[in-house]
Amino acid sequence: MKKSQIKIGESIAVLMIFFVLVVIGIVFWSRYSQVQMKGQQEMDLQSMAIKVAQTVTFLSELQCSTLEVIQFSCFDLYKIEAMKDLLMTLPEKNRTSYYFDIFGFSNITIYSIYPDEKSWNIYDFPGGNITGYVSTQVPVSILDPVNNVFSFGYIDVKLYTRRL
Amino acid sequence: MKKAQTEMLGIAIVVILVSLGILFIVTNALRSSGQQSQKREFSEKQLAANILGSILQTSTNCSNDKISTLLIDCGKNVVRFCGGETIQGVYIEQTDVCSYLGETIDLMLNSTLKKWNKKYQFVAYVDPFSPKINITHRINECLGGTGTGLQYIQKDSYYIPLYPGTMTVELALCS
Repeated sequence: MKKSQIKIGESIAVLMIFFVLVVIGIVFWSRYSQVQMKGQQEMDLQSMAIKVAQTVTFLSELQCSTLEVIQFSCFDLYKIEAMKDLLMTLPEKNRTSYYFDIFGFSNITIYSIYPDEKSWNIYDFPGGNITGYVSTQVPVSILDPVNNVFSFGYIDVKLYTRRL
Repeated sequence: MKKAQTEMLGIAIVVILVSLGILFIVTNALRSSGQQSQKREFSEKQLAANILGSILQTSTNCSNDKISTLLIDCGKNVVRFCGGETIQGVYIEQTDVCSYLGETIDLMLNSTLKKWNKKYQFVAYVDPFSPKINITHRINECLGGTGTGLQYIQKDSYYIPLYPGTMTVELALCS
């Protein structure tokens, strides 16, 4: 073998090693990006669930108010029952036409824990192709204004994840 | 330039490229985990504040008094008995107000924070060395101090004036 042939062989080997390294880099980078994207997606869903939960907490349809003074982190028992009855008796098309912009594909349930155990599912719109859900809870007080009794409870917001 | 020098230059370039790649990945990973823990920390602080606020204004079956009112009686060592009721299948015996509060608050925290896999400590005290109520659930697994991260304790406190003295109510939690 001539010296020039050896040099060409050497250059080819160097180039091959270089390209192998580049391919390994690309594979590693794509895997890493995939994991990062999944994490980011989960974080965004978590943020969305928190946003929906916060929106529900400040919903005037549910908040306790006395002489137009709103009580923070408190729901009126009769407003909850009225909203539940209204939303669950409406046809799905009408139900989602207004609240879909605020709640999206989610399930919102209010739980009373103490002194009585009770729950109200006020909104549920899974859409289709559900792959799972992200859940967020916010503790609240539930006021029975007739008997002036405050119950301890929480809102559970399940944000559905869907296959596009 | 001699052949050896050229090869050295080649190796140096490869080393620099690999180092830059590693640096980029590490920076990216640190930044994203930092953002995530900040968000979680914020929501946990909110959770501690919300849960404490809701607990304090809850009405009990003890003369329909709120928990904050019973805490005042507990702090002032008022002789008062509550209980003798079954809540969520748990019988709470008739007992002094501080023990009644302990059992009731424990029931509430069991149905929320414990169910959501949080580690917590609820304390109510006038004198921090002898707390009137102390409810804990795996709090010793949390890290103290003021660092950032999910395993660090997030705390919220309420102060109830007793005239004289103050009842401090604290809820500490971590994930």
